[in-house]
Formats: sequence, C-alpha cells, structure tokens
Amino acid sequence: MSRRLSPREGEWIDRDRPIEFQFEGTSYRGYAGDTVSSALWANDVWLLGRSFKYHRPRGIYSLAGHDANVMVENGQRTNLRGDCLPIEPGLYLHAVNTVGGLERDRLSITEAFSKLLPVGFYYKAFHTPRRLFPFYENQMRQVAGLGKINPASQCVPSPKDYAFCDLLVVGAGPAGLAAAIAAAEQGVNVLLVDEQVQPGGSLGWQWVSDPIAQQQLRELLGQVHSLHNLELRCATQAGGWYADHWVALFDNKRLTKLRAKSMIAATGSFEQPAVFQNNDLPGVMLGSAAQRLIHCFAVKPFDRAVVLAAHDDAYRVALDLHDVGVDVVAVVDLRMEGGEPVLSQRVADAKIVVYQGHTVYEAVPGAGKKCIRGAMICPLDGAGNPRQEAQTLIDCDGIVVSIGWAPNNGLVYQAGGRFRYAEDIEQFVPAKLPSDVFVAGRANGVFELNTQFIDGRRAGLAAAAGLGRFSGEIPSVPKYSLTPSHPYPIFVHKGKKNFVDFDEDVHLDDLVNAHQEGYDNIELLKRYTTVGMGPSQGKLSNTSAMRILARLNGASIEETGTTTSRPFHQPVPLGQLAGRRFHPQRRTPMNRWHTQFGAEMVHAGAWLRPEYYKADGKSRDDCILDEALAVRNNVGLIDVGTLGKIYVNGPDAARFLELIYTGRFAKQRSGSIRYGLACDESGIIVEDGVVARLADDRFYVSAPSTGADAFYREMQRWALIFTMDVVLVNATGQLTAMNIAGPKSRDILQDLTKVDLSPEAFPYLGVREGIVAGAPALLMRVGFVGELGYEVHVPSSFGLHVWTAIMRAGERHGMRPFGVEAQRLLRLEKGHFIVGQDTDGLTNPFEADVAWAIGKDKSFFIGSRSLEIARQKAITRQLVGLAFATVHSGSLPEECHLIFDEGNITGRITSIGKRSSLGRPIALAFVQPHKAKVGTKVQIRVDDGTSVGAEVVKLPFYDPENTRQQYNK
Amino acid sequence: MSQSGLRCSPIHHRFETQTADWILVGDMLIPRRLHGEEDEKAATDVLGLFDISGLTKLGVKGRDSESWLLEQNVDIPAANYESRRLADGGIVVRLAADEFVLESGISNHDVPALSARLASTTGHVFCMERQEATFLLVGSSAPVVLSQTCGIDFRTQAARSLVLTRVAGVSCGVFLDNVNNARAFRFWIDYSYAEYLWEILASICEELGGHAMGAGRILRELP
Repeated sequence: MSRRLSPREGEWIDRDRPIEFQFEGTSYRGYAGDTVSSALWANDVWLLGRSFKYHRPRGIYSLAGHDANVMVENGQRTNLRGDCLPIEPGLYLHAVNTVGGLERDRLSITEAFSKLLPVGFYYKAFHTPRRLFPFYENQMRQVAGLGKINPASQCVPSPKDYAFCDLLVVGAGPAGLAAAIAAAEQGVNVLLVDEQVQPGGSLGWQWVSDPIAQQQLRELLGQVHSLHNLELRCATQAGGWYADHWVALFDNKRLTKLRAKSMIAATGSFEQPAVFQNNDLPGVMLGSAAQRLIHCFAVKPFDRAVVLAAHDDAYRVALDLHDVGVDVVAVVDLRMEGGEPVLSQRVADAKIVVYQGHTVYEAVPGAGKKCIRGAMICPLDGAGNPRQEAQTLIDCDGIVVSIGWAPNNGLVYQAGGRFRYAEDIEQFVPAKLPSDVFVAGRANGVFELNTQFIDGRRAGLAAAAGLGRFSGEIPSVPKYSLTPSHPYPIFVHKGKKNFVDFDEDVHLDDLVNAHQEGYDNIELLKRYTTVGMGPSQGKLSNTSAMRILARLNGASIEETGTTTSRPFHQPVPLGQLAGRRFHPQRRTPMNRWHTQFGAEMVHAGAWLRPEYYKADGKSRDDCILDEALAVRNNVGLIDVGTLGKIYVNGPDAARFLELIYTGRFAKQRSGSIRYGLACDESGIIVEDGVVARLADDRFYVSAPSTGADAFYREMQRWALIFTMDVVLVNATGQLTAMNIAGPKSRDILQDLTKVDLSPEAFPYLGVREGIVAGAPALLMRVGFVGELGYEVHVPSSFGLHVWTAIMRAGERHGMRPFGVEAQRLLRLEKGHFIVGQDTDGLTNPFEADVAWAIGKDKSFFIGSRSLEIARQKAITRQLVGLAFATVHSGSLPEECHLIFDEGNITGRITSIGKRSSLGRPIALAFVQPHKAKVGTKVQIRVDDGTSVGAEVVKLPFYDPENTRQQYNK
Repeated sequence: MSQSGLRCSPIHHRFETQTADWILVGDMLIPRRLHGEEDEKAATDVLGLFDISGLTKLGVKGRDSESWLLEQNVDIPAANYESRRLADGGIVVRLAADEFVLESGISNHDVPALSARLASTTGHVFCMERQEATFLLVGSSAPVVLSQTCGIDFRTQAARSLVLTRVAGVSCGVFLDNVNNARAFRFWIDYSYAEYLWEILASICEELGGHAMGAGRILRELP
C-alpha cells in the first residue's frame, strides 16, 4: 500500500478491516470502504482498464462512476464499475475488453491502425461486396463490446420495492441536505437519496480542509438524523423519472419504485475534462477525483503533479495535493487574470508556480502509455489557442484537470424541465420547471458554498409550500457569484488524439470530420460519432461535443442545444430491472394429487393442468390413447376445475343471456342445460359453453378455461350498457369441477350422492343441486367427450375431498384419471371444436358449422346484425372433418399445416389426433367450400415437404347418433 | 357445508410433512404449530405468516343485500371498504353499495348461519360463493413484505379497511388487521392463486428473517 496516507479525519475506509482481493491474477490489500479503483491506486496500480476501441491504457479519471475507464468482471457479473465497486474478501476481478490480459492486451495494436478506423468506418467499408459482410460482421463482433456475459452465471434474486414520499430530494450535498431539512421541518415526509456511500456531497471531498464547512456538515447531518420524517438513503441513485411522479431508485441490490409527490434535484454537477493530447492516459485525473482519493480513501494521488485550472476550486485542489505531500510543480491556469487573491496567495505561500493564460497542450506519455512523465504546457493567445512555439515541458507523474462543470440535470429533463444556457456561468440552468419539480445547488448554477445552503433551503421551502405545508416567504434564487467553467477548454493538437469521449474513443478530429460530412446537428453528430453513447452516457463528453459543434457551426451553445436525456441516468444491472419474478400461476385444488399420481403437467393460460398421467414403460401417445379408451370403454375422471364458472342472477338473467349468446334461454326449463355460443359485434365467435338454469332468476354458465375472465368482463360491460338487472358472479376460482365420463360413470357417482341419477330423473343436459361425498355440489349431465358423463362442481375447498372420494369409489370399476390431451382427442372424435384453436379471430358460426346454435327469430343479440349480413354472403371456408388412411407410413400433419390444391392454399388443419379410438388419424380443418363436400380428397403439406392425403368425412367421427352421451339405460 | 375436515386449504400439503399437530377451523385442518413455541413467539414479533383459510366466508350481493343483512342484525359499515365486527368476532366489509363480504371468527358461527338463511331467502339478494384463502402476515417487518409485492402505500390506509389491489401480480384483497395492537395484514386470495401467493410471501419472509408458522398461536390473538 505504497500510496496510502496516514489516517485522516472523515475518511471512508475502516482500517480495522483489511480486505484481500485479486485483480488480474494478483492479490492486493485494501480496507473496507475502499472501492476497487481506490484500493488499486493505493497499491500503486495505475493501469486499471483499456479503452473501448483503441485499447489505450486507462486509470482513475473521475472516481465517481462518471466515466467508464475502470470496468471489471468477476466471472458472474460484468461491466462493474471499479470506481464504485466496494472491495470484498475473495473478489476475483479482471478488466473487461482485453485479449491476453490488461497489461499485454493484444488488441492494443488497434491503435496503430487508427487512421483507418475513423468514426463511421464500418458504414463505409463493409457494405460491399455484400457476400463478405458476414465475415466482417463476425470479426467486428469478436472485437467489439465491453464485458462478456457469462451464460452460466447464477441468477441472483433481486427484490423490487415500492416506496412513497411527499418529497424526494436527490443529492445529499450542501444544497440537498439544506433542502431536505427545510422541507422536513415543515412536516413534509422527505426521502433524501445520494448515489455516494456517504452523505455530504462536495463537503466530503472538496471542502474537507475548511473547518467551517466541516462544522456545517456535522450540524446538517445531526439535523437529518433528528428529523423522524426525513429518511436518508445513501448508495442509492435516482435512475429515471417516469409519468405520474414515478422515480426508479437503485441501490446495490434492488430497484425501488418510488412515488414522490414532488422532487428537488440537488444533483450537483459533473466535473468536465479538458481536451488535449493524451488527456486520457493514467495519471491524468479530474481534480474532484484527486480530492476523493485524498479525503475519502486516504490515498496520495501522485508524487509530482501539474494542476490545469480554470476556476478557483482548482487552487483548492492544488493546496489539498500540497498538504498531503504531492509536489505540485505548477498550476496552469487557463485564465489570463489568474485566481482569486486569497487563494492565489495561499498557493504562492506553498511555493507553487502559477502559469496564468497557459494550458496543458499534451500529456507526455511514459512507458507503454501506462503513465505520464510530463506535461507540455503552452501559453494561450488572445483567442484562447495554444502558442505551440512557446511550449514548455514540466516533469510530473500526474496532471489534475479542474476546468469546469456540467450540471447533472438528466432527471429534471425527464421530469419535463427545460434549461437555458447561461453564458455568465457557462452552463445550462433551469428555464422552466414543472410546478412540483425544483432544482437547487450546482445544478441550479449556484456554486459558492454558502449560497448553496441558501438555495437548498429556498427549494425545500418552495417544495413544502407546493405541498401545502408552508405559507411563508420563500427566498429567491441566489445570484451567481462565480464563473466555474471555462467556455472552451479544448486545445487542438493536429493529427493527434485529443479525446472528447473516453468511453467510445472519440477524439476531436472525429467530430471535425463528421461535421465536414454534414453531421452538423447535435443529435446527428451524436449518432454518427457515438459521442455520448457509451456507458457513461455523455456525462464527461456531451458538454465538450456541444462546444465543439457550436464553434464549428459558428453558433451559440443555446442554438446548438443538447441531446435528449433518457432513463437510466446511470447503467443498471438488468437483473435489478427484472427484480423478483412474479409469474402468477393458478392451480386447481387437485393439483397436488395429479403430481403425486404421475401427471405430466402443462400450462393452459395461467392454469396448470394434467396433460396425461405417465405409466411405466409407455410412451406419451400410448398413455393418452389408453386414457381415451378407458373413457370410451369404461370410465375416467378429469379435472375440469379450470372451466370458467359464472353465475348470472336477477330478474333479467334470461333476457341478458339471450343478449350475450346467439341462442334462446327465456323458455329454458329450470334444471336443464343449453349450449351457448357467443359472438362479438362483428359476428366472430368469441366463446362457447353450457348454460344451466337453476331457477327462474338464476343461471350458471360454464365457459372454456382460458377465456373465462375476459368473457366475464365482457358480460359485465354489456350488462352495464344495456342496464340489465342482473347480478354477475365470477366463481371460477371459488368453485372447482371434475368430469366423470364413460359407461360406468353413473354407477360410481350414484354411490356418492342421493341425487337420483337415473335417466328418467336426470336426463342428458340436465342439472341438479345436491350433496356429493358430503360436499355441496352442482351436477351437470353433459357430453363433451361423447360418453355418458357428469360434471361435478363443488366449492374449491371441497375439491380434493370429492375428487379422492370419486376415485376411491371408482377403484372397483377400474376407473382412471385422464388428462387434457385425452379429453382433446375424445372431443375431436365427437367433432366438437375448441374456440381459439379450431376457430380464429375471423370465424363466424356459419364457417364453424354451428349456425344451428343461432336462435330463430331472435330480434337482437350481440353480433346479430353482422351475422345477418354474413348469412347472405357465401362463406369462404368451412370447418370439416378429415380422416386419414387407417394404415399410414411417414409423417402426419401437425396443427396449422396447410392444405394445398394444385399449388394453392385451400385450407389448414386446426386439430389433429394422430391416434384415436377409431383406429385411424382424424382432424378438423378449414377448407374452401368447394372442398367441403363429404368424400372430397385433400392434400396436406407436412414439415418434411411431402404431402399427405385425407378425405373429408361427415362429423362427428364418433357416435353420430349421440346414443352414448344420451345413454338412458 | 359443515362436514368436519372435508374442506382443505390450498396449501395444506405443504405442511403435511412438517407437522402432525393440526386444529380444525371452519371444517378445515390447519397446522397448529410448525416450530417450537419460543421460536414461533420470537418470529411472530419480527415476521410471521399464517394460513387461516379455514375461516369461512360468504358474499352477499344484490340491491336488497344491505337491508337483508340489517334484518339479520349484522352491523354493516356505511362506506365502501370499511369493516365492522361480526358477533362471533368475524368481519363484514362493504365492497359496494350492494355487495358485502363476510368472514367468520374463530368460533365459525355467524357465517354458516347466515349462509343457511340466505339460501332460503327470496328477493334481490344473492349468495356469492367465497372460497378465498386467508393468509395473515404479522410482525414489525410485515410492511416490508408488502412493499416488495404491492404498489399501495398502506401507511395511508385506515385501520380495519380493505384494499383491493394486486399482490405479487395477482388480484388480492388486503385487510388491514390489528393483532396485539400491531398492524397486521390479512390477505384474501383466490383459491387457485393461493399456493402461488403463499410461495412468494413465504420466500420473502424467509429472506427477511421470518417464517411460515402454525396458526395456533395467532388464533388465540384473534377475536
């Protein structure tokens, strides 16, 4: 730890907790509280990363996560920012985007070809000849990008929180602290967040040497902790602002969805780089980064430094460096007039030479460009251009850049705020803000420390007033008293690399060339050159790019404008966006039984259903066919708890059902069931089911599983539109159901109920209420699978009991459960279509051959007018049954395979049973009407390109006389 | 509907291997205890999740429902989503001008009695089958579980009121209960979604140092 300083008051590290970690295969020691970057710098490791395009050496630059110089991966996660990543025991890190390691990155050879690789080169170079593009693309993909995702990495669950507050204050610096306290003192419920791990903002690094400022910080933090309605969250960034005051907060493990009634952005500003040759190499660092190293992490940044200054804060940086033993050999001040007298005198007292009206023209690289060995400085002419003929080399190992700031206003832009360029302070300041959004501190153009406190208090009181908590006088925005930023800290070193965007390796010549090619708009320039499009999202490059473009265009900054700020303001791990996975799943009460008895479960909408029950040594198809044959020949039980179950009660119930369905229900007898077919306004089939009349004013509707909730909502809508006196109850989850089907079903069920199941007392399409196995039940005699059968509907909590009771009663009859696949086969054999599978979004009842379900002489129902029109038109397709050869070799069609006739598509398969109880494959299909005649041969093209023949047959395939389901013996 | 033990909680099977100590609540077996007495007491203070689905429920809907309930001497709330106590300690909540939901107390007296009377009632009042599962979340960290699963600010909701919302992506009623003078949350969740919601709530509770627990302890605290 050769660069670690002796303990300092307020340092963030805990020297009692040393931590070992590895970087690029070498072990290092740091302290709890260190970040990867600070710990490595303390160990005198300066080469921390490689740049995106040219693989140039990079070191600490902002030490605040505002640049992407130090990006590491740990095997599980990648693109972690070393500046912000706390060290932990056992961390095993590598720099991203290297081949052969950080020290000897073989891709650094790219820089030798940099003249061949200007921005946009791939647009121009690789589009011809087209046949070679896949090769080029592959090569580019090999070398492009930063960290690589490890597909084997473990999914780390990340919670997702909701939170609420009256006022969100973003930034716990001087202005933010003052704002939060002022608002909280008025009784406002305040949430104060800061992306750094410690509150205080610039008070924690820029003003550490000022005892008055430190006393102010202690007092502010004391007030924060004493206010019960003020919550402080550090290491939390406000990543984006969305509609309705929805703010995304991120900490190191979660996304918090915050609803804030109002917001104060005390977000501060990003210190900006100067543009000169080799301004990106390790050893060139922002002044704020140097101060963070010293005060937060107790690390000596350099041994011998030059400070490039354009404002008085830079003089404080020089003094801080001097105080910790850095030999500050020069302050190179861009200003002709130099610094503020008191600070200038203190710098002079420290025997630091000040070069007024000078700039650093070049960072002179050391070995392998992994460090610097000097600063080439030049005097500036009256226009601010370096006079190269008078350059002077100063030996140093560090160049500290402190020439200006850019406001951190992305969140305010997203919230609807608009900014104007204030030339007196050379930065954007708020021009128009939403009524519940406030800006304070540096983001508001207020840089002098005491005025930041005042501005923060102003914003806090204004926010409190907006929330109805304060009615006193609100102070006005303090007048700017400092000019903190240089208007054009960009110094041309022709033909050399003067970097504007470190993320994307975009340098000054790139921007100039792009401008010459016509990209003279800031948004176009951004997209063509990718300036500001790297991981840092332009925090350190957009301002320079804007200034350069303004000068190239001969326009003002205001005229040039800024690029759009979009969430997220800082990169966020995708896992945190995903958060905890909520995949709601519905299970019937018998779900556990099914899995215990070997069911292979399948998703059906939100439901889990047994697809079939596995049997030892049998294939899936065999199991399904066995289940179907059991129903045909004996008896089976299926869980149909997923059916939609809707009560329609009230005086208008029958009238309402006549509106919803195409059929007649007004004269339906209590205790009977009718088929219901529902269409939408355009006459398209949307639902079908059975309608049981329980009493004059009470109906029970059973609808297919997947569309039940939507159908219920549609029923509610129509009930309101037609002001029907009905009470609708969606009992889908409240009740469960099972269907016992097969010749022996009556015998088994009769053992469990006193309801008379005899055919005389309970005929086909009858409904009865009674008790089954001790549970209140509704019994419906239906024939979906084409056999004698009863649906038993019971309250869900009784479902498992009744199911097991029926299974037990059926044991002596050899009853077996059957799954949804067997059911689909059985209904196919009966020619029953499934809405959504055998129909689509254009199918009307005439095409589906269910026109018989339309009530005669009905004056109106939903879709009636459309169907009246459709009735008068010739149909263009028809649902028919297809039968395949009994003995068939080769492939059989799948659902949706097309039917061809002389090369033209004439239909498609909607359902197929490749094996059936009938001994041959059967299918339902849409065909053109001229192909619908019984006996017509059709050809279906299957996946392997061959054609399979089938014949149109009369429906149903099975038991055309319906004697089995109407079994009355 | 009053056959002993015929009813089954949607998450009954999750406890079958954990305990043999069951109690009958509303004709439903629910675990009395899943951990040691002291462990359950300690965890309850922090975060405890209980299945009390045995409490029977009833929905009453129709324009005569209010008058019918008043005829049955049920004290009903005036405003939507407010609640009143049933005589047996249960809850009645108004969902709309013409709709109420009732949940019995531990003695399971009032709701079955009202259900029986409603079955033979004529007029514009209809019985709605209510088979929701009931889960109870108690302890100092209970609000954290809500904050991770639901976008409602429960701090602003009145005590003993019902919030119809989505929890972990499913529609759910959250009743702001009071157990031992501390805020507790009673979830009414569709039977078919209950096991899913339990899995989510239980996993978050585990992360936060809480547990799923037998209902024996908490039932003593309920009216």
